Amino acid sequence: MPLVAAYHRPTDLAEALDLLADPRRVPLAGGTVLNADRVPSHLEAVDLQDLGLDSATTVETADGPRLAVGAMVRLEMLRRLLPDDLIAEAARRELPSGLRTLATVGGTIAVADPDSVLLAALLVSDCTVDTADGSTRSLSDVLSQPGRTLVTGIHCTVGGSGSLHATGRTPMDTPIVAAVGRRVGDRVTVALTGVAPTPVLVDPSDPTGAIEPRSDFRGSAEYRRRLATVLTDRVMEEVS
Amino acid sequence: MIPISFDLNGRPHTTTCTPHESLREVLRRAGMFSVRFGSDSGETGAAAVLLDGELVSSDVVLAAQADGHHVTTVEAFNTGPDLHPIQAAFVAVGAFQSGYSAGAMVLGTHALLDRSPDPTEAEIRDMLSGILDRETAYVKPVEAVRRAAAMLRGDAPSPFGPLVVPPMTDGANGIDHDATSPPPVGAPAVPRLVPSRDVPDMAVVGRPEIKVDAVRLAKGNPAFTDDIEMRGMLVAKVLRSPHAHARIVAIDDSRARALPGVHAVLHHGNTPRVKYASGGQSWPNPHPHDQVSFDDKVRHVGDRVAVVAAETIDLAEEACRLIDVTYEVLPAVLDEREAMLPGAPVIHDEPDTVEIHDRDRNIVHHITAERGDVDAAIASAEANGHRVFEQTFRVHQVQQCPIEPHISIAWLDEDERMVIRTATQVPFHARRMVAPLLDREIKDIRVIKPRIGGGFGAKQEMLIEDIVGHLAQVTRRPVRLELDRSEEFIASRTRHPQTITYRSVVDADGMLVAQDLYIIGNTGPYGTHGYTVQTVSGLRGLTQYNAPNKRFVCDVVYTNIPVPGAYRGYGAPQAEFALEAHMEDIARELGLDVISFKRRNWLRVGDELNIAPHLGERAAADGELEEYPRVMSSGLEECVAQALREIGWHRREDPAWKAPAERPNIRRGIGFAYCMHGTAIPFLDMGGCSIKLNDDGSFNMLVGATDLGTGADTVLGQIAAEVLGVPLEDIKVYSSDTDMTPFDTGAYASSTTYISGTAAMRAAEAARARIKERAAMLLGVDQPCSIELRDRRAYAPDGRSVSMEEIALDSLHTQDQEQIMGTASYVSPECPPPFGAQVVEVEVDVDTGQVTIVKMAMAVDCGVAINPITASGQVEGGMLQALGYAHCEEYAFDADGRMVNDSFGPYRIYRADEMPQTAVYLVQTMEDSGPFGAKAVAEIPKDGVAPAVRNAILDAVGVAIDELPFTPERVWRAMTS
Repeated sequence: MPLVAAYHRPTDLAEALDLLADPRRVPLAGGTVLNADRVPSHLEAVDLQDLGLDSATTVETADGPRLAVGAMVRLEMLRRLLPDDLIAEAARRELPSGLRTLATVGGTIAVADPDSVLLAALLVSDCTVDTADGSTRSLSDVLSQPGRTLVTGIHCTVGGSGSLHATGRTPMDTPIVAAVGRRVGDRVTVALTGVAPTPVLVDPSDPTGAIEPRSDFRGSAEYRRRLATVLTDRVMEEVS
Repeated sequence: MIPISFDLNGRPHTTTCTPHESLREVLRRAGMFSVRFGSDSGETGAAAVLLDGELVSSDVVLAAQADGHHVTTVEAFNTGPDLHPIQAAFVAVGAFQSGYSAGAMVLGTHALLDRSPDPTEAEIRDMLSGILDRETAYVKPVEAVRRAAAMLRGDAPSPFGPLVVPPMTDGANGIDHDATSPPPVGAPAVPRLVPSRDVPDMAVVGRPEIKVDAVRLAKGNPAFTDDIEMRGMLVAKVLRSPHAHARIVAIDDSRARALPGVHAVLHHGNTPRVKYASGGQSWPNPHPHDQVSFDDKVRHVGDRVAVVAAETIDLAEEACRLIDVTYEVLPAVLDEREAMLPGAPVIHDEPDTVEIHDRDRNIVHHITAERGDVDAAIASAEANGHRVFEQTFRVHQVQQCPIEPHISIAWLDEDERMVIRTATQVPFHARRMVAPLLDREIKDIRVIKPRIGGGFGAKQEMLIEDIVGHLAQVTRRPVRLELDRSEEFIASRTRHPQTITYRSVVDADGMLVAQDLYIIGNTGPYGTHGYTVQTVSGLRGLTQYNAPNKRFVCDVVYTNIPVPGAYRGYGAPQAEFALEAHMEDIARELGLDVISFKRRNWLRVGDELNIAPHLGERAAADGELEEYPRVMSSGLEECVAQALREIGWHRREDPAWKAPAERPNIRRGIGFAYCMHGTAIPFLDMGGCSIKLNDDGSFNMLVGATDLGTGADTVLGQIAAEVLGVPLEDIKVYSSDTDMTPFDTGAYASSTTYISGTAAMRAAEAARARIKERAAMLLGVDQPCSIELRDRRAYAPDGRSVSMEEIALDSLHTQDQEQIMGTASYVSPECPPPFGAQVVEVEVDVDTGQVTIVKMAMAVDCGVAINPITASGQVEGGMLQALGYAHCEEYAFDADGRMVNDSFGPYRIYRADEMPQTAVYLVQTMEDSGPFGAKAVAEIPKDGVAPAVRNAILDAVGVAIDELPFTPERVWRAMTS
């Protein structure tokens, strides 16, 4: 547990933003990351649970169904909402059961874990991110240039055909590299984890062209490049 | 402080909390002891509760976040003496071993069944994915959830017991059978029991009895070390070294001492320098005694520097940050091979550590043992037409990972004796070892071992008991110290890494002529179990095959890695990985069938165990023994037959199966390993037991043995119940407390059932003898030996009987009053080996190197399984740990010796939702030296998985990998090199 110095629970977005204007204050979403260590700090936690950001609906659009999800929707809810979609499988892989019921969509975006399969799945789902300043940006932009604004919700495409291939030490291990793809109509997008500082969209015909993987004890940069190619090929074959 | 209110188990609960206090901490403060600490990150799930009906890890929920919500702990189910159906289901199938995370499992099941009354296995495993279990391999918990679902749907539960499987051999020889026949069908949680005609039918022994501690575990009752509250208790925190090797030039603790609420700061400057060795072993502890409570030198990242006792953990941590330490950083060495080279840093240069074999080369022990003449066999090999095979293996560092971390609480009792309540496998050793460090006599120390949340050898040390003892003495207040998960990784104990080289000489008929084994064992910065673990590697690595010439040479080497120690298997898994891989490769090189080659050479009944007596703490000198111990029972042939049928061994010859056309990147393989272990340490391991008869005909049984979750208390109770002719429920088992219970060396070396079990049997026999005399008197029978005890009664030959209660009341209250009791202890001259056959099926992705374990099956000859459910649970859990060793677990360090994966995410242990299929066979044999025919079972499942996986990969893709673990990149590189 971080040694947060104070706890706030605002009841509306305006109050939350007012509190978060102070740089010592950090948003507390699910808490699976922020609350998970004992690093001393003078941070103050601003709990977002009462802001009403926990709804999820599916909207039919001309381009197919779009999912509108509040930032405080838990990953487990996301999984149950879309049992047959790529996003559900990605949410399941993200965390085990007792943490998935806490972790939120907004928190997952804020943490921007390079190994997040869920973020990769959202990237290939044409995900846009609503922020408290009223703007809407693509998830890809948010991940590469996060800023300090609060995520309030996302919109993403569901349906079509999806594919997820991953290589890890064990079947449900955080993947060394994962490739996630979705086809909607003729359009296919692919994203990778484990090859860049955040999950990234890649060119399916040249998945290693723009990545510079890091090496760690789970996999060297060379090996990660290898996986990027192999797993992307598999995703492409499956969604094609 | 923040005021909070939430609904706790259906009632309003109002309290206050600090901003960063977790829900777990607040719940425990409210008396919800079922909510247990496993890690601050919530990964273990031991503290999982229901928050508004959803399973959540309360470690990562701020208490303030729970304000206004509904919180449910398993205590909500405890409305009376009876168990809730979910609890009952877990108990019925033996799903709890230590039961440390029992509350979380029950709650998770409740939440799952609420939304899915008839869940699929995938749903069950997904629910369990949030609760790490190091003990059961999730096999019986999955069955428990299924059973609970059925019970809640109104289905009548069926009895849960072993599936009896007919033998496939005559016991000594393989017999013809259809190798392609399907294995017996049954739920994975059900052990397959292959009976022996030599084993009689018994009333309690051999039965799937419910564990004696099942209710306490299922209800989450306060049973573990941390489950007490003491007025004025202080909390300790250890300041640990950030350097792998450094001299402490100065410590300034003034700022820490000045912090209000800090009661003590201890370090090398104010603590007596008493040398000791921390390994929990019999007196006298093997040299060198190379540790002190606090030293002026640190030898690994995580080594002790100082400790603080304060009013709260926050204060203790803050005080640690205020201790100013000046280090002179020294060069460090992590690899055992490099540590022996000239110029390597000398890790123990202090003069008061003596009996180091070669201090300048960091060689703490040099071990040798030989039978026959290995050099001559090698020298003459070519002339004799023999082949010589040499192969070097490297095995790595892993951790036991008990979900309950190390925890100790010490206080001075009303007589100012030191009481230490501690999570230990070795309470009597801990008492003896801590005494000189605290400058106390043994009689002034009492060690209490409550329920233990798993140990696997990590708690076979005197690891933190001295720290709480020092602090309790200095502060005269109770002091509690609990390691966090990172400390468990860097500052408790691990498995020894080794570099292992085999040279084997094989004749033209495929018979071993000689085996030469050289091991460099990495004992880290302290000796602890370094000597004995490597000797076990030697004796295990050179015993299971017959060779007329055998030699073991070993250098045990100091390095600067976190400290290795005892870990279930104790040196055998390392050696057997190398041995079974080596033998596989020899068979392939010679073009022989691997089973046939191993069978030609493996040990049989009557064969000598000829090198074991020359290794270990009480090693015999050359020529000292006139006769060597021999194998007296073996079910190996039956184990092999059952295991091969279960795995479908014949599929190795089917190209279409091995390279499935529909999955072109997949190759399949099956691997085999033959396993052999020991049962206790002869002439060394000792257990004691006392049993007394109560007024109602029940018995109190006091044992010094320590049940870590293994079911030892149950098994010992079953043995006593069988002797005394009463049901298990009439035996009340208490273990262990150095003031109350007889001595026992502790839970290690697969000794409890065999050693403590024999003590229990003999103590019960002593009580039985007196009961028969009293019964004979009451029944007017001349010959007490003609009395038979059964069904809580004593029967005369003519059928008349008297109840156990009547005997008790007569003996305690009526005439010639006496306390009927029996006391016994046991030390064995024997070490009967259990045998086993391990098989594994894998799939290898040829493009990525990823290995997927599809199935593991093990057939074990553990003599007579006193309780087939607990025995099979031991095999399942052992295989799970062994799979982690083979497949995914490993310590990773940066260049400065800091572990970079000291949490359960990056240090991967298997979850419920990724486990392979498993099957366990218990092959009965009658081991006459064991209680009711029993041999050991707890450690042998650690031995065969790694080589079987390795051999399966070899079968699948043709690459032989001689280094663990089989991570994707390692396998991919092997395939592409």
